[in-house]
Amino acid sequence: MVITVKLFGNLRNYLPERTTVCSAEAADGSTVGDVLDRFGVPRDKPRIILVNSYRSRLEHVLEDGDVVAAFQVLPGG
Amino acid sequence: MTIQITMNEREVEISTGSTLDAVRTSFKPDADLLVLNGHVGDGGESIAEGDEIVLLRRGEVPDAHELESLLVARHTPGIHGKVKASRVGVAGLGGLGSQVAIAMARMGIGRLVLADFDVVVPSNLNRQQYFVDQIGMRKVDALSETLRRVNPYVAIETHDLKLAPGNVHEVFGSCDVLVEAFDRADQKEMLIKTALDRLPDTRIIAASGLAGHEPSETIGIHRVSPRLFVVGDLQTEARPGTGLMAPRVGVAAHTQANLALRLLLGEEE
Repeated sequence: MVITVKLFGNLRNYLPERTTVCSAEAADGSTVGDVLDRFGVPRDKPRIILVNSYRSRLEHVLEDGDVVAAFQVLPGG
Repeated sequence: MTIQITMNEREVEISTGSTLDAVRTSFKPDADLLVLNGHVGDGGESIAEGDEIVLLRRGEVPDAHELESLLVARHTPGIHGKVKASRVGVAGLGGLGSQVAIAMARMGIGRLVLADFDVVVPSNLNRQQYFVDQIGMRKVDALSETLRRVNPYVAIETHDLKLAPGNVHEVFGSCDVLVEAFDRADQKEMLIKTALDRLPDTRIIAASGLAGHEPSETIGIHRVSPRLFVVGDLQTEARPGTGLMAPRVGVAAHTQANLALRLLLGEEE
């Protein structure tokens, strides 16, 4: 299946050519964490994860065509 | 014969050949500050069709309608109705939240819902909209005091409490837009997650990466979903050696405020 991965800010460093959006082939049954592992994203960095615009988590099992979005929450305000 | 002029933002008709002093006598005899087309007058000026006159008494607080008219006169036409009908929540009244709240009050937002559990301490003054004489006050009280000096008629709802998953809906459930304005990352994360889960009809504007003095234009808007936006560079965190500075925090705060306005106007769907 094909998953769209959107990483924002400093997490873009883990995508090819620091793009924001990337497609990834994934085996059936893959989780959000499995897909992010393939890009080398440390598991403690993406603090907010959405799948198809709904809040999700690393253990969520993905389906073909899903869109994963993630970013790190940094202190300061 | 009459001419039409604008007097304290209201269209009125006056006799041709009237002077500024005559207008004062007719509409506001106790006014001691006469402004004709943006310039202070002495009363002897002749008034022409289309002139704009503001008559004020120094130190007098305008009534709600008058102040609204005067403030709205400087807005882009057509936006006030939507802004006045809107509710904006601000979670955390520090460098971001205090400035967002002031911008909202100056815009004439319909209702401001403010939440913070903290008090004003001296270190806040480097970037937060508080004053020396407010040190020690609850932030919700200090900021409300300032907001009422800007606009005594804005509806302000304050919550002096620590936000947690169990009370976010109770505090912000009625808001059209919620501005996440915390300092600590764990609080930001809690609020964003809870709002995503519990406030399905509220748009969320979070902030992440606004420390230091990197170029202003690096403060961007990241549209994570139709309901979640993040303002900041998502890279520069506050940490030893990289502080929180008034200018860049202000850029982020007003980027949040402007985005809130655009969302309320339906311009960022």
